[in-house]
Amino acid sequence: MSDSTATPHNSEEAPAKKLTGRTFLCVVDETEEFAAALQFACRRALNSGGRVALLYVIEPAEFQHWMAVGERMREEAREEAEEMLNVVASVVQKRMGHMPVLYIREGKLREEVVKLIEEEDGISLLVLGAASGTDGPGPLVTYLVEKMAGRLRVPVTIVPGSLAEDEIALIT
Amino acid sequence: MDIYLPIAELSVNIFTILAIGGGIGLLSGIFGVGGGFLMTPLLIFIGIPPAVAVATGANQIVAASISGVLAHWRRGNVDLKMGIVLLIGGLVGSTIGVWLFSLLKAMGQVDLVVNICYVVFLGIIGTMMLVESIKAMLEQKNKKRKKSHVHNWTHGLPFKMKFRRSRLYISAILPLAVGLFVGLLSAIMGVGGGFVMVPAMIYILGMPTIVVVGTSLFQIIFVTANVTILQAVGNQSVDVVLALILIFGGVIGAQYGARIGAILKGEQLRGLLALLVICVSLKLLFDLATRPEEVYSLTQLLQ
Repeated sequence: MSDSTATPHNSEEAPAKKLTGRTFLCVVDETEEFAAALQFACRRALNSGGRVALLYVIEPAEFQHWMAVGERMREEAREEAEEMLNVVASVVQKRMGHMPVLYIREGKLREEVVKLIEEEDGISLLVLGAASGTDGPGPLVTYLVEKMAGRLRVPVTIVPGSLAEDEIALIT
Repeated sequence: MDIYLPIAELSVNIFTILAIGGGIGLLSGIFGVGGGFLMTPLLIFIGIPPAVAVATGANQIVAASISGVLAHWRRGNVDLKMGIVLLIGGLVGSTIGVWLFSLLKAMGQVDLVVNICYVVFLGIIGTMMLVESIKAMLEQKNKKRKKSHVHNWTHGLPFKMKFRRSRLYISAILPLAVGLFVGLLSAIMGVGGGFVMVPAMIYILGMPTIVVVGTSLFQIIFVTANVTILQAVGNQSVDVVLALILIFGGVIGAQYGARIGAILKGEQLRGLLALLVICVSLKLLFDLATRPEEVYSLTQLLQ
């Protein structure tokens, strides 16, 4: 795999704690609204001397009868996560001039997001994209806003997925 | 409270059947989709003729797979093109299988063949699973990454097709053959065949694991539906009363099974399943080897 360029492995190599500026956490997925959230986070970080952190959560695969199959599934999920994070990270680097902090976690998406924020003091803001469709803003936004918003350690910014690039640029 | 099963021509206690349906649901909830390869033997144990058990079992799998495939479909984890090619093979295979089934039935040998198939398959599968579990417990982890895509003679086959979702460019003969084999199994044993198809899709076709489960479920739905319809039309061996009771029990059992499955660890689950499969195959073998008090199956009717 692409281990040569800045491996997006766990938090050890991330100097998040020492940073004086703010860290904007984005949760990476394949949705359109993520692009808006990412752009927002990058611009805000750039303007306030902070940095961007990316989290990718690998959902645990369902039980497989054959162990070899289950193992293979985990490996491939991990590879896909790393690939995805690498792509997004290079986008961030282009916009910001430095690499973002990368996290990969395995588990339930909502639980891992909350846990990561609890564990990493460096994170100062969670930026989420909200889907603009009629199906609601997305499961993570719904969960965090309805159940967890009052109990989180950091504020949550929700970026509507319908915002265009120049609109986001204007706000930030 | 006995209930008469019209096709199985048998009176059984309704609670026994409900318990089996529930038990199977529980198992498939714990171990993931499937369980056909445990249900058919269990039905045989309570005295349902193997021919009816097979045909009715296929029915139950249709129901279980539909709910499974929906979740995968929503996440985009079904390779439709691959699924359709597998399905074509599966439809041909299962049609041949049902025809074979009729032939065996006419010869009066179908019960024996079904039993032997189960003993052989469950024996092999159970042993392989057990070996896998024990190996894993002994050596924990040997991190050898095997190449996922090895070039071998199969890449020389004609009729190459592009499967975009699976990122593959392979001969259509391969998925057709896999589908055909699984279709045969499905018709003769009344199983979905996921436990054979999933490894075959990964190791023979080289598909990425993320689309394997959804795609196999997609194929299983239509193949088992085909089996049910053909068995009902050709062999008159689908018992609707039995199927309904099983589905009812299965739906309830699956709810609880999923919860138990979430608590247990993968290795424990696999070990349990392996033991269960081996026990069932040994019991079948035992019943085959020691022929019963009633030597002729006709005696069942005269009682």
